[in-house]
Amino acid sequence: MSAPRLLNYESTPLPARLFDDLQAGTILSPAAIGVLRHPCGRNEILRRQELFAAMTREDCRARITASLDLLKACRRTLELWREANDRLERQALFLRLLACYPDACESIGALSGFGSLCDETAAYFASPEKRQLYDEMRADRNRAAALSAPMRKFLLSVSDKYWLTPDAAVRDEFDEIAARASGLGFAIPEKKAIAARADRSLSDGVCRLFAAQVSGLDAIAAKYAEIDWNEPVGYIGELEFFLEIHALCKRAEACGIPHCFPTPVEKRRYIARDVCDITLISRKSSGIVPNDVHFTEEEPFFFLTGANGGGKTTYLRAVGINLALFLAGCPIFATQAAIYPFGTLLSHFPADEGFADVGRLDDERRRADEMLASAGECAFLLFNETYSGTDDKRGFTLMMETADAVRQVGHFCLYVTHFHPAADSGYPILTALVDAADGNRRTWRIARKNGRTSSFAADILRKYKLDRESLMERRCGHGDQSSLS
Amino acid sequence: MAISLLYPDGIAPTAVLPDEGLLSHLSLEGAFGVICPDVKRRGYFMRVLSELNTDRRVIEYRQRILMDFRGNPTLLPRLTALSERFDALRSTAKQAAREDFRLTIDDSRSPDAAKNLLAARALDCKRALLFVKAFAELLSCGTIQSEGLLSLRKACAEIADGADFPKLLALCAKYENGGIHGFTDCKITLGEDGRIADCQLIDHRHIHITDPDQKRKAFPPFRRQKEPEQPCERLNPAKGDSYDTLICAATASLTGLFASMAEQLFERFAPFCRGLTFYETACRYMDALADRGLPCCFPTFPADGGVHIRGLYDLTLAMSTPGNVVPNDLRLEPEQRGILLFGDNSSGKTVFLRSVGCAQLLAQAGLPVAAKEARLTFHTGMASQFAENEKAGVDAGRFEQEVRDLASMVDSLRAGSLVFLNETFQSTAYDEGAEGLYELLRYFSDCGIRWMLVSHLRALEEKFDRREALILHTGTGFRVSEVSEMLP
Repeated sequence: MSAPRLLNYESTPLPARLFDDLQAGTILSPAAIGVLRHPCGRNEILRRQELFAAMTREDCRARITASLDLLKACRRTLELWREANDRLERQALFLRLLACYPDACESIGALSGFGSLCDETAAYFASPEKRQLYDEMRADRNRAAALSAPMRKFLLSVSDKYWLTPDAAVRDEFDEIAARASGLGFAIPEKKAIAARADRSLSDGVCRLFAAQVSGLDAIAAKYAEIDWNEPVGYIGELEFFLEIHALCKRAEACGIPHCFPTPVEKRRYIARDVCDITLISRKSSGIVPNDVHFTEEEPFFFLTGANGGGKTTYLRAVGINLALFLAGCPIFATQAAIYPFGTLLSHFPADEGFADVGRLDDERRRADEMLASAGECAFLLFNETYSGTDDKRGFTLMMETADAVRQVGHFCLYVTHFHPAADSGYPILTALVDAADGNRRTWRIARKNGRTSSFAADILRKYKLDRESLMERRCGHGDQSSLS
Repeated sequence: MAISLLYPDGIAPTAVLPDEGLLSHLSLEGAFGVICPDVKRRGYFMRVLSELNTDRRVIEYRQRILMDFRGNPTLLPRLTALSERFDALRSTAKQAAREDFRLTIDDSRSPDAAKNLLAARALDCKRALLFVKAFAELLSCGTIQSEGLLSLRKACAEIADGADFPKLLALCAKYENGGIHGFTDCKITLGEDGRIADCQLIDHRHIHITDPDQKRKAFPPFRRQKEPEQPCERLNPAKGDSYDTLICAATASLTGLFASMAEQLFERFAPFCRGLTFYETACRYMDALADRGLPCCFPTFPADGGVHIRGLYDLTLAMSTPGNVVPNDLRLEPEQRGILLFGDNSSGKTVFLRSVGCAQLLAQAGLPVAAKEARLTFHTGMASQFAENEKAGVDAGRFEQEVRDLASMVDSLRAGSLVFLNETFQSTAYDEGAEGLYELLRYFSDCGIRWMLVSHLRALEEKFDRREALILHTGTGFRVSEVSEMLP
């Protein structure tokens, strides 16, 4: 019977580029993003949510953290043991392994009561056979420690041409002088640790000198030749993932951002209240404004337009990152949500310039085509200013062609665009709101809206004195008034 | 704890005079240049003066040590001679430590080189120990009463008279000569990871090799006596120099121990050796005054806040032209916050200000002052501002420079300080200067800062109440008194 895992998935991974577009790297480690890349399906989502919910309890976190420490100690010992060439070093590290392996396994066995994922795993490591193995290992470890104790101190005579003899409790000269010196009030410096590998001839010499002990140690090692030492160590990454997501929730909480466990629903929809773009906390943004998300089978596609700097891309990221978190069974940053476990999540963001053989527009078209081809049957697609690399008319045409293709297949989609004629296209529109009564102040609110919108580019131009009045003043300042008339 | 003859707690204060110009304004460097021509020693003495002492205990501590040295005239020269040799050993050891470091970081290390270093450090340690013994013996000869010298004698004796002292000296001597008959044996300890965690030298007497081949080779009369049977194993040759590395590590460990012990002795006793320089210059200062037939006295510091000096004279004049010295008296009542001194040009105003400043500074350093009798007040800070020419490269006129300097000084002064001002604010219209200066002096008074001003701004005289400030005038024959000989 193989050990059950805490993270199970069999789906096609989401593209790594999606997480770059969503700026997930600013808040999550590459390892955690690696887990998020694998949507896990409805059942696993529920099982992971159980564990995340249990992690709100102090005792659960304490046991997971303690287990992780023991597992890491075990992994480190295992790595050193495998790297060690010297016989003495291998024996010492094996001794340590006999101590830390049962501790690590038992710590996993103690993780029961935190949901079905943990219960299954804990049951495996706490089975009677395993317990018996741990007891045997500990007993053997004690025997091995007793055998190796005299081997750890010995005398090397260089004067007599390299002879070894056992240590008969000899006091070295450092201690002898230190004893006299401390009697006169001197502070004694600590002996400098060496941590040098023993030379092969020295190691062999010690093994010959303590032949009986070495033979006993070899017998103990032979007894465990078939053990899969890696078995507990494999849980390190899994436990770290759960702890990392939990830590992210706590960090968000400290910034006043709530989180919740979305309900995985049968009907295709993505409905959430007060969704936040959690990547903003890495920029120490204060006052992150939450927004609602409402995609249903009736309205699976939205264009998002509005003022520059009004929060369109932030909203797009909020929709995307929270969906990715949900698909991996994690809590999302919203007050409540009901989400269908979409088969995949794909993104199309502007790429950096640097296309070797094609222009920006061609590159965008190629990527959009590939995205649609790989979307499968039930995907959620995120487009950000796609086709902005050409003139208005052509860009709008291409955008509408893509929108129609997406709608025809039945994918869900959020499309951020500056092409305002989209408002007349028959697709539902979301817009970034500004407060006209307050000098077009950005509210960071996203709301449904009918009719054309403005990008309020003049605000930004005025701010940087590049609007019409400012440019005129500049000309006046330079005595160029006559040319204007 | 380091033994210091300057500070009872062994710790030098970190604070220094806020006004770096004070010593030069008071011309102390010039006066002591005559007393102590050695630049290095004088520099150290001036450094101690510049660490304005704000601890009354320090004054008493130094005065008593100075009295001990005056009472045992041979003690200071003998201690100084010994301490100079001790300091030379310290410098050599320091230089050697740098050399050791160079040897340990490159790959040129060999067991022989390591043993040489061990011998050198063992010798340094032994010599440092013997110096401590010599200090103890020297301090036991005369009669000493000061807390400083008594605690030095006690510290030396604690080491030199310790039961372990001869054994430690013997161990130093053993390694100074390369161990017993050049044997090298180590005790190796493996860590829990199976690697060598420690390697230390051991005495060869602990090694009992029972090798039949070796025994056969020995000449019968010199065969070893019957030794206890010990299992032993002969090692195959090591690849590379791994055994040499172990021997070097073990040797370096012991070298480090000897170096550490020597360093501890240097750290503990070097401050006392340095402190002797101060007393050496102080004794020269007292001798110089005595040679010129001029008096000096240890001041007292009554708590009432008054100042009374009798026969105060200028140290600079005493050293250059002792015949021109004119003693003056000063009496400042406790409630008087400042001194205003007026007088003609070259009538001795600045000389008198300098005399007061020097007396205060030397007194707080625990030294006698150039006067017949002195009762002073203790000050927690001292500063001075003397009128100067416009400084090159400064983006302001002379008056603005003065104001800027004063502003900086005002920021740093605290209650209990003493300020010397010489012809301040005379680089502007006198009435405006006087007005500004009056406000500043009132500010000093209100903040508990005592001041002494030498000035031509006679308008100030009218502004101050005699109970608030002492107003003095220089007169015929460089005499200073409360009576003005000048026309109003």
